[in-house]
Amino acid sequence: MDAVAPRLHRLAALLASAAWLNACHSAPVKEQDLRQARSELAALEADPNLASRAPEAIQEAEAALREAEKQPSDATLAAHLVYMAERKVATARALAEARVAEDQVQALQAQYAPLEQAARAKARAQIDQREQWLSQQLADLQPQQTARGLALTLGAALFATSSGALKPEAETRLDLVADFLAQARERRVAIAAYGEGELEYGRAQKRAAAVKDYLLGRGVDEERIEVEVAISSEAPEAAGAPPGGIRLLITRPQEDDTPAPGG
Amino acid sequence: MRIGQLGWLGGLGTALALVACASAPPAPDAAIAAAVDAIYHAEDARVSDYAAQELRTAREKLDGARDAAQKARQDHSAKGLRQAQWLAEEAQADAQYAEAKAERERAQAAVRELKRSIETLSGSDGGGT
Repeated sequence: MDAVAPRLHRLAALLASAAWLNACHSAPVKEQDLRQARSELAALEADPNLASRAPEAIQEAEAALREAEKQPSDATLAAHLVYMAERKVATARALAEARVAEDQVQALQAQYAPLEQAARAKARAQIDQREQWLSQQLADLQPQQTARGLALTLGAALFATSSGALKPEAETRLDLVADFLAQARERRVAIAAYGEGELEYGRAQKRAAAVKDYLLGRGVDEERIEVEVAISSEAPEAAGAPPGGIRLLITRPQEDDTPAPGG
Repeated sequence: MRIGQLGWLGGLGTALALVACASAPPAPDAAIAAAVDAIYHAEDARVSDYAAQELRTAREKLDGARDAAQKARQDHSAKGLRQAQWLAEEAQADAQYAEAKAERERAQAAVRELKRSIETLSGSDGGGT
C-alpha cells in the first residue's frame, strides 16, 4: 500500500493537468480545441495524398471527434473526449504520413539499388584491372599463381658459380620484381632457398642474401623482405626453390589488412 | 440487485446514486488491459527511439489509471472508476500516437538517408574521378 502513495501524487498532478479538478461541474468545453481538431481532421481528409493512406485511423478520429462534439455537461468527460479526439486526429495524420514516407522509401530503394550495384561493379573492376596490370608487369618472369601469391624462380644459372653474386640477367629480373613491389606497396616478398650439406647451404645463404641486397638497393623496404634458407628441399619453407637457385614469393596482403585499392 | 450480498457493491451503488451527473460506472479493467497492450506494442516497435516523450506520457497515465482504479475500489467511488477508465483510454491513445509518430519519423529518416546516398552515388558517377 505504501507504494501507492507517491503514485497517487503523480495521479493528482495528472488529473490537475488534465483540468479534471471540477468534475461534474458544467464548465465550458474547450470549443477552441474542438474546432482546431475538426479543422485538422478536415485538412487530413481533404489531402488526396494522405486521406486514402490511413482510412481506419481517420474513421476512428472522426468517431472520437463526433463523440467530443456532443459536449457532455460533465466537464471532466468533455475534456477527456476532446483529448481523445485530438490524439486520434494526430495519430491518423502521423500514420498517413508514415505510409507516404514508406512508399517513398520503396521508390528510392528501387532507384538506389542499381546505383549501388554499379558503384560496386566499378570498384570491383578497378581492383581487377589493377590486379591484371600488376601481373602483366611480371609476365616476362612467368610467375605462378599460388594460394599465397605470385611465385617466381631464379635458377642456379643466374648466379656466379663461386661467389653467389647475381649475373646481369638475374638483375634484370629482379629489377622487374622491384618495380612491381614499388607499385604494389601492400605486398611483401619471401626469398627462399635450400642447401643440403654445409657447402650448399652456405651457397644458398649467399645467393638469398645477394637477392635481398639487390632488392634493398632498388628501394624495397627491409621489413617487406623475408629470407628463408632451409637445409633440405623437403622443408616447406623452401618449397618450389630450384636446386642451387632462389624462389621468390610475392605475397598477397591478408584479407584483414588490405589497404584501399587503387591508391 | 445483490446489494445485500456484497458490501462493496452496495457502497458502489450508493456512490452511483450520489454522483449526480454520472452515467453507469465503467469497469476500467478492460481499458487498462488495452492500454498495457498498446504500450507493449509500441515498445516492441522500438518507439522510444523516436517518440520517447509520448511513450512516457502513456506509461504515466497507465500508472495513474491503475492507482485511480485501486483507490476507487477502496473508496467505492464510481467517479474514481470512471476517471481510471478515462486515464486508461488516454494511455492507450498516447501509446498508439507514439507508435504512429515513431513509424513516421523512422520512415522519413530512411527517406533522407536514401536521398543522401543516391546523391552521393550519382555525384561520384557524374563527376570526373
